[in-house]
Amino acid sequence: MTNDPPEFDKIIAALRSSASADELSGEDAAVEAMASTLASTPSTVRSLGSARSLRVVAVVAAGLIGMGGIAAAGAATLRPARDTAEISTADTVVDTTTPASVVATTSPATTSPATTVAETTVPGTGVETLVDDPATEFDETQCAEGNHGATVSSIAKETPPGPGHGEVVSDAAHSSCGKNADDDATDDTTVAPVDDPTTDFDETQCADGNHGATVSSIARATPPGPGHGEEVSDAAHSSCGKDTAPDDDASDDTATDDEATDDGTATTVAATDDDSPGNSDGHGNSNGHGNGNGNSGGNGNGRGNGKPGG
Amino acid sequence: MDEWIERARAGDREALAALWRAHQHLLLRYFRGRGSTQPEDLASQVWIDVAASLHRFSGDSDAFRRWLFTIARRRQIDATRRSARRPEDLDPGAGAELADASSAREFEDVGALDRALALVRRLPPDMAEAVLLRVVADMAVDEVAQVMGRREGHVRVLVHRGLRKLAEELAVTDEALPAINRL
Repeated sequence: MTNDPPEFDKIIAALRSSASADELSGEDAAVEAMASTLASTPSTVRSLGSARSLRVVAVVAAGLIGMGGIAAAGAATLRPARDTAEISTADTVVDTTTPASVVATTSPATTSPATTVAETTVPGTGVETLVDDPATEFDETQCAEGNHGATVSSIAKETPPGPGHGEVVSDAAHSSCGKNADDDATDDTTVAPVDDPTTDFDETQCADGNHGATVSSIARATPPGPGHGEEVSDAAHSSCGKDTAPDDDASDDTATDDEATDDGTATTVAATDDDSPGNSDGHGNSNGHGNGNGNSGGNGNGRGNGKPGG
Repeated sequence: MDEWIERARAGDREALAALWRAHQHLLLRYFRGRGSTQPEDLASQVWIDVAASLHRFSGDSDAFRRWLFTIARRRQIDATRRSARRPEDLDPGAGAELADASSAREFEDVGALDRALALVRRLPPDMAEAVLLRVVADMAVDEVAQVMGRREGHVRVLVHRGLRKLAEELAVTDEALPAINRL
């Protein structure tokens, strides 16, 4: 009886049956709710329309800004190829980079030997010096305000459209114009070795500012036997020869950073141009150019060389 | 139906009521078949969503049904998520209803629809949904596929296996095969 096919058909028929009175109860309330919702829809439509328009504008603007940022980042990314050849990992480095990062304030030569940036530092404090960057056709002396983004923007506006417009704007974007001295951490290197109280090693023994060489010499100078390992360990754990200042800028980072905790990576290779994006100082993709729109540092993480916008 | 949709969009209450009467029971069965403990509440939400978005809808009655069940599906998913977060919301009576279904034949007072929905609820969720949309909402396989975001072939398999399982539950597999193949 229950195994005959009509049982299955009954199930299907039940699922497809017409509505019961119970299922259709509450019609009035439902229709009322729908009607009131529908009545409030026209204003909703308008707001949705305007919201959609705003969204489109926002997306277009974001796209344009993004494209600009990508263009700037792309251009900046290409630069290290040139600069890489000039990077030295030696402890005494002569800065051979283009003076694109010359907008700088420096303190007097109190830097540790490892962080000398001889050619780009300008004696004196708090003085912002603008030097035309020969790498670009843009004359940095045109730069009147310390806002990189605003300056690039004004250059873009003032330059008539047509051939060469993009190049001029690009040059401005790549220039050091408008970059604050605060953004250049060449003065951050003025940290002398300090005795690390956590070790017995006297940092004043540190002569050449090269951590590895110092530790090595300590190891050789200390006679084998009890205390040898401890002495060497202390030397290794000391700050001797390390750039103890936070590395906010690659321009001062003329020597290989030895301490991973100092700059986020133990394999950092010094970069001598603060325009260099990438991981030159271990702080992510900071680049000195922002996106040409006054934004800070393109993809920088806030610790890099990004220039604050207007 | 197409005329109702047009008039409902203009705010005609009669048309709104007609749409509601034509689809409300389908929504309730869909939600009940999916195991919802509060099908009326979910259906109400669906209708509010419909009213709020009706100005954006364009299409015929079939398109309206697809749209309606697409909204219903989303509301069901939302409800399932809420239930997962708050297990206390689960209806303890649902299990009893399943027990009813398993012994449905001994309880002739249980309505055929209730029995059918209880059986559907015992299917895996995807199968149950496919069967409900195909059988209850009377959608074509390609429409079910659109609503579920699956390929037609997958939906066809789900429907077939779901119906077959129903037939197995009823111990009428062989006899039901022709009907299953028609669906």
